[in-house]
Amino acid sequence: MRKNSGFILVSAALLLFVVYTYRNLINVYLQQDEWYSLGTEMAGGIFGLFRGTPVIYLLSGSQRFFGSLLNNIWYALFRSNTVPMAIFAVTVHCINILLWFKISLSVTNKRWVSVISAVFFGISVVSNQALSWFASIFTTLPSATFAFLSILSVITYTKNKRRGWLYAAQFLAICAYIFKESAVFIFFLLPVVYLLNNRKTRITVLLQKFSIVLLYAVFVIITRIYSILGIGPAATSFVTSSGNTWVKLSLHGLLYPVISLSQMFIPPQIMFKAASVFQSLFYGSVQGFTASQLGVETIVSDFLSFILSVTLCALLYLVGSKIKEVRLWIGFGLLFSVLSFLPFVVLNKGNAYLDSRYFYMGIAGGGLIAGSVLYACYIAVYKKFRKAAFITALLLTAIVILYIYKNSILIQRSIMQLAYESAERKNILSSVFRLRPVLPDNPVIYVYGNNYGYYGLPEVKVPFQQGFGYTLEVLYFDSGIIPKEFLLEPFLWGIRDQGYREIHGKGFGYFSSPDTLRSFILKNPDKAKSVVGFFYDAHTHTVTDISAEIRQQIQK
Amino acid sequence: MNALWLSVKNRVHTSGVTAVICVFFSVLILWVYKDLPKLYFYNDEWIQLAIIKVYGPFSVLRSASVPALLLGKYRVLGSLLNDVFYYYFTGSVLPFVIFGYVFHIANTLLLYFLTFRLSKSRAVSFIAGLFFATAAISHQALSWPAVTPQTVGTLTCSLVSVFAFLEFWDTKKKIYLVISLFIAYIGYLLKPSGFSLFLVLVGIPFIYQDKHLNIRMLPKKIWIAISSIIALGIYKVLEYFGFTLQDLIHGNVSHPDQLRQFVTVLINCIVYPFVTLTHMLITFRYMLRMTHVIEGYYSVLQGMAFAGFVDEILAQTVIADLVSVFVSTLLLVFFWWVYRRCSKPEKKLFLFAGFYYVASFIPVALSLLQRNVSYIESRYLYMTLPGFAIMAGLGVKAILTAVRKTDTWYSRYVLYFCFLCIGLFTYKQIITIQTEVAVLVRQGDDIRNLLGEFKRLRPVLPDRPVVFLDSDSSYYFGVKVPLQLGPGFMLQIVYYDTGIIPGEFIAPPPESANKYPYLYNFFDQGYRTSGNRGFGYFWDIQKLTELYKSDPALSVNQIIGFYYVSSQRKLIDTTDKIRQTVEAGK
Repeated sequence: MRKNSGFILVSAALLLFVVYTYRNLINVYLQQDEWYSLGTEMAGGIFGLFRGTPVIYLLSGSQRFFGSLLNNIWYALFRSNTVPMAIFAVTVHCINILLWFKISLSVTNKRWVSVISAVFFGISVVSNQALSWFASIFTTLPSATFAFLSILSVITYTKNKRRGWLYAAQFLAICAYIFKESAVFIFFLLPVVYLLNNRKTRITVLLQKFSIVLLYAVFVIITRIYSILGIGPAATSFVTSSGNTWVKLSLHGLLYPVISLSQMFIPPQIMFKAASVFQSLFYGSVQGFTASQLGVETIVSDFLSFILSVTLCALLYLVGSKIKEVRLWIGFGLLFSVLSFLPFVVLNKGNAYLDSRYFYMGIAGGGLIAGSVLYACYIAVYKKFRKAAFITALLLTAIVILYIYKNSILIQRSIMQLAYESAERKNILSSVFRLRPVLPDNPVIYVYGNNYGYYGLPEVKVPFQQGFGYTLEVLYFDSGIIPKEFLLEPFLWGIRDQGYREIHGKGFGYFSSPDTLRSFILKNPDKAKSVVGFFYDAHTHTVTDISAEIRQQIQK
Repeated sequence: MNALWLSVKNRVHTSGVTAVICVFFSVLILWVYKDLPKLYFYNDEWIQLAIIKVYGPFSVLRSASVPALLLGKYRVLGSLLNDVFYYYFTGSVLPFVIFGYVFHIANTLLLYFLTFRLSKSRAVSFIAGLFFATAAISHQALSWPAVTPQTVGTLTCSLVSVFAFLEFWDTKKKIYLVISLFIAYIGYLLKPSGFSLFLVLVGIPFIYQDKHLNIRMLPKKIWIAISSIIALGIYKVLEYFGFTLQDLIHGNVSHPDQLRQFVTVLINCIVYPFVTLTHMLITFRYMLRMTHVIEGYYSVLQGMAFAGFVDEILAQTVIADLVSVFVSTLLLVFFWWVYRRCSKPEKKLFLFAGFYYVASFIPVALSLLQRNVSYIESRYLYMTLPGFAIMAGLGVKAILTAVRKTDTWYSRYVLYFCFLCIGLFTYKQIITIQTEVAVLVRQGDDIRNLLGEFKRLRPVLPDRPVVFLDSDSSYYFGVKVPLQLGPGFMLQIVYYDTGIIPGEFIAPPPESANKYPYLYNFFDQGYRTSGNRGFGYFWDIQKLTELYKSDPALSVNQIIGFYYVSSQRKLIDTTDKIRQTVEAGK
């Protein structure tokens, strides 16, 4: 115990540091998709989201069944209270850190390498959205937990050869997949993990051992062949939403894993700054055309990331060829990261980086790579200049601390920004509810403000990323005046959506444009008395009731 | 030289196969570049021609002090060679073309023999020679007459110098070292980018040493080379920072931006050879097709202002670089594989080729701080080509050997497939060159035709002429006629021999504040006099009318009007009409 006390102390301190880094999550509020989940749960119960979906589809991973179910249960219990969600996110993240530490330890047999691996995974600004966006905490985080548990089960099986562990591993991998489809890569990784300690296994034996995931994969392919082939409607972020599907898929398959490899270690803020300098150095003559932030954050950053990734690969090759001990560790870390990015090839990117939450699993592999490289540096110095080993260790520790500290600061800043936005949103909703605790029947709500327009959209006068009409439906749902079909549909969900609709004698309307409201009232004069108006002053952050003025203006 | 030639002759296989290969390469090059005699002068050539018309063929010798010229200023030998061609064969590209043919064939054969000498493999030498002879990437070295003597000639000097240096290294006879350095110096005077050869020469002993090289013995053995290279290097750095005696006298002192530029140069020394690895194999047109496909991947950019224009620029720069870095990385991995499979002499040859390739990019990095497109200007790559050609030869041999070693029933078919690929690649390179040359021939023909039309319609112009030129079409950047320099400047050259154009208009004296000739830019227009001579050129009738309003002393009889009908490639005399218009507008 005494021997391990220092190690346990450092590990506990690091976990506490993770908690400290994410402490402000409790001040973050529902941001976007969470409102839809909350709405469907309120209107349809915890299974509301899955209505009409056959169980066979749900079991094949459709609608991230487990993740969404957990999500709905949470909303049923805590509604829009985000504090339990923040606690859940940080707790599951800490569990994941411990699990990844255990996996790293099993692969490397080196405690400090595993600590570095876990700490890189634990505090990374690149993947912070996995925790800071509550829509993803019930899918990404538990999916990782099950994936890690699955890997650990295979490792245990390779040691004790009890088949129960093998079955457990495959069952856990399937659970991870049903939490979030992107965990599909675990199906391919499990046999590799088995091969690490049983290299001479024949392919037939391997297929036999992992027949459960194999059969499950066939089941998924059969049940979801339509969505796999891109037949039917697709979200705009999917490659199938535009032409050249296969060309894009091939390009993404080639570029995403490579580009993301270096991006795992470099926060986007730093990458974009570096890309700007890179551009002025190499493309000064065409800077006028590429200098826009869009150009820098997409093509130029992609290019720079690619160069850095190639350099990183060369460096890893060099390290692996010089220090043979770390070769396997680096190989495992690389394979884990590369495979974890492959499921995202079906998505288009907004900028050079994939969405932050998609890095969550990949960075675990990145942590192992970082730990291995630092260990290799230490060993290389230790072998050649034993006297300098201590100083090297100190230097490497300082590098790790600085890196983690910088990441922690950036995460805290990003969460502070979210907390600031959350406070503003909470204030708006509570003010609206305070001003009008009860709405008239079939209300027509008009919201206007003095901001130029949030998110570059002139008609969006309140800082909500989803339709404010839908948000109001959720806010007033418990009063019984909102038809539940509106929440399930979802009516007024789009950020620019406005309009009025009735169902079973109950109606609800939301308008953000005075002209649209006026033309609506002209066609439906009887609705004029149901108009409720709010004005949001973006400078003083106050909401005022302008119902009387609006009604007068409309009647003129 | 005789001794060198004899030794080369002795060492080269004079067998029938060698003779056949020599004939093959010669015929191949003549066929690939068969349309070169149809070329004409395009842009920079006219400036040089103007200087010669005014100051004679040896003006370069008077343009700087003798020490400065001997240190490579104004590429004295190259300029002299060009000037002699311009002066004695005015208006004819034939001397340039013949020079190009002869020396490109010579370079191909020199490369073949050099590779054969160092690898003892006919396959490697043949592939290297074939790649060099038909490389589309550097066709401009032959297809742009203004650069042919300097670029092609410098490489000839480089290769001969390397031969001589290898001879010195084998025989230890200092005469070969002196010959080698002398020829390298000639190459340097032809084109200062030849100074990279000095680095190559220093590198050879490091590569071709039998035992572990003792650094201390090196300066004794090749002290001439070392000292001259160091001196030249110091001079180049001083020149770069503006610290030469002349610069200090003229006050051209360095400024802080130069340090940033220096760092850029250092980075470019790595970046240029790296990205160009890909460009050696993939022509610009193919690259553009690829980059446009990849651009679809950035659908987020399509909403930007001037999306089409921005797309084109991005495709030619950043995305082309992205593809190049990707392919170059694969090529590096391939070359690493090749290197590990090479025999000992081949390994040394590979190192030599790689070193030559990288070193030959240093002058490019110095003269080209930033690229407008991913591809470096074609002519700059001619010097770098031998290094890549040798590596390509070794690469092909490694693949063929690996296939042969597999010894399976399909090995033979794989071999046939490899030959087919080499054949197709070479064919595609040849087609690309011929297509590019055909475009140049068409452009040259337009220039030749138009200049001829001027002379046909108006063999003589009035004193102090004011030419007005219009057309029914627009060419480069919207200029009215298919000329690649300001039409006003070109007209002055056409009529210079009639004695009505002041010399300083087309070739400003070195001490003049104007660096460029009068009416040199595409859209320049105006009227200027010098003594009792003068010249004016306009493409905008309003400006011409304004000139006549502001200067009543001008006579409308000075006006000459031309109108170019692009569909018929014909010029019409519109003098009367223009004179009337100006008269009416006065």
